[in-house]
Amino acid sequence: MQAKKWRKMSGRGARVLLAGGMLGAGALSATVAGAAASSVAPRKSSGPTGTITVFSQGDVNVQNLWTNTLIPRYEKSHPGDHVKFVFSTSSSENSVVFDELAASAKAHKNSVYDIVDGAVPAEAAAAKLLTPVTPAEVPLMKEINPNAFKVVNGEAIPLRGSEVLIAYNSQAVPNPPTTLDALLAWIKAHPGQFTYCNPADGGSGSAFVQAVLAKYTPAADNLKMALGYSPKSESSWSAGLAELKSLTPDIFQQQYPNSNQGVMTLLASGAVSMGAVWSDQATTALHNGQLPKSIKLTELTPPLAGGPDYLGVPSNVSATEKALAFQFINWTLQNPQQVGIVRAMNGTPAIEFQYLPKSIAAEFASYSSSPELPYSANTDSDMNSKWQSTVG
Amino acid sequence: MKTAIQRGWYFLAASPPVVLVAVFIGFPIAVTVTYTLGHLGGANSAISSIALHQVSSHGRLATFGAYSSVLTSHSFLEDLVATVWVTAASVGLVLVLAWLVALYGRLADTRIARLLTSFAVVPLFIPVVIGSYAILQFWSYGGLVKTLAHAVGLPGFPALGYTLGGVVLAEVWVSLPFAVLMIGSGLRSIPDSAFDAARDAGASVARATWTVLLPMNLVPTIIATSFTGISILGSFTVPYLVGPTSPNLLGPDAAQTFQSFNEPQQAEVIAMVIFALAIVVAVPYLWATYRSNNNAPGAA
Repeated sequence: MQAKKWRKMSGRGARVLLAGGMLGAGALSATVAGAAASSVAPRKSSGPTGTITVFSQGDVNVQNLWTNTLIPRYEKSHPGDHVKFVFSTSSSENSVVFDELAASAKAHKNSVYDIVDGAVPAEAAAAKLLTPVTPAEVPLMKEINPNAFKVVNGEAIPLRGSEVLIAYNSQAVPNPPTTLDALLAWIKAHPGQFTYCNPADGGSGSAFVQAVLAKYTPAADNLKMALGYSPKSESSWSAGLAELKSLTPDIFQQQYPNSNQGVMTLLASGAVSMGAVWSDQATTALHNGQLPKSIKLTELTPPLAGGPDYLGVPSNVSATEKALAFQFINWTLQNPQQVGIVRAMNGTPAIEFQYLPKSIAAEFASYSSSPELPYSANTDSDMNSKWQSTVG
Repeated sequence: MKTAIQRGWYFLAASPPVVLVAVFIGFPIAVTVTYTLGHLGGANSAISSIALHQVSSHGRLATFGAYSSVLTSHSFLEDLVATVWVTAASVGLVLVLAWLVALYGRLADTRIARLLTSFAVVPLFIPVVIGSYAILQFWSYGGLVKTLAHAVGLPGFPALGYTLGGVVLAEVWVSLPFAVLMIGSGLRSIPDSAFDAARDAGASVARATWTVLLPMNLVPTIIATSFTGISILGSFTVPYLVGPTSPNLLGPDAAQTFQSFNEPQQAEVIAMVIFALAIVVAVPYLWATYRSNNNAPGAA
């Protein structure tokens, strides 16, 4: 973590950016059915063959997606191709990989990794360490909302997505707040019943903190801080930081959990009635019983931050490996793989709903059409630092 | 009298670890020191190309800008104070407990005494991350301790999870085995006759312990103190898992500054502060080993 603010996203392990219109409003339109049947059975590829090395980081759900779903399916449908998979559950490994990318590029050597997943691509794109993506290499990128490419300078491709929602205990809270202001008022009216994780430790905490800071920040400055690094714009954070500090006495135990999972643990035990959580992580926990059925998810208006998890190809890999890497990435955007991601980890698909079976769109009907853009990597680092020194 | 050739062989035998330490630890430390002093080029160019809020010496010999920005930060000073008192309290508790266990094992040569000294070493075989998490769960809000206290009518009983008190507790758990081994073996090497002579002369057990066993076991006690202190100063897992959001120890603070704030230069300044504190704690250790080497049989 470093130039980089990697957040530890247990459960998703990835830095999430923007959500653009991934969950697009047009998604539910009538065009859905026709496009769905297209790319069903993966075909033997006529492209190059060889071995690519992939790095990913996250919780076990991310690891399982790669080792149980993506890699076996790819190697089966592409005989002769192999994927060497390097995975870490520790977010600190992101910094090691990022440093490796930066150092190898500086030394004009080839990168060890051909594809990076998780928190690395957004940071690497900001540092111009990745290969720009073109439709020639990744034809299926046309099925992705173009906004998703803006925050990464067109150097990385979304694989899956999620956003931050408010989880609440429906037995204790029959009428949950629906706006940020109502939520803040609710927190103060119910001391000890709400929590969010340390923004340095989890993206769900970052999204909540960002929403409060953004409330007092001009929209133009918020956009600047999401798309790049603008230290001047950060001066308008002080009102939001003061507001967050005033919440501390009403946060459960006046202590901030040090992971996304920590918030869900408190929700599950009934210690708190409400908290900020990742949509995919919480949905999975609800499916497998880690969260009781009395926990419901709701989205604020305007929504908290969210967006895609990206794949990136370092600029310093050989031409053959680059071709292999893009072939793999294009394959992950095919219909069966995108549906597989939804099934495996309750993430939103990267491609727009109109290209997927209608039932998939229905599953995400309660989500926003446009979650807020998360702050960029460097902005987020500064946000973590200021939160720690004034609120934490 | 050793010949020059013998001395040469001894030096050669010791040189692989010396070279290893010099290359893989000494060199990175030297590079780190130059980085904290504002040298952003050379071996630091990769890290400095991605860091935020760096201070550059602009070609001059050194700048202390990074040090002054860290050392004047309010949250750092809080963390520093927390680190010092948590270390002092943990070391003090470890010494008292280790002495009690070791003394019991030494004076009461029964099966129970031997069992207790063996039990005291158990934390050594439980990974720190597992032990820390267990202590957190046990002492947190909703943990067993708080639940039992509530059941017997003590709703105000403190939950030590996510507090510095909990960190002290977990640090004692982690550090106790080494101190017991060190102090216990020191006590066992003191001949019975020394202690018995004092008892025969009419000294109570407490008095004989204070005037005979303590001075004769001073060097192992000092070694245990230094090692425990240094490991707690630089500890990460225990305070990261068990400690509060803020203030916390300097170990998690440095990691967070490096990772979450993307300020490697400031993180390395914090590391230098830990380093300086560790040197202070190491001084008694160096004195003790020097003294025990000089007193060793066969030494000049």
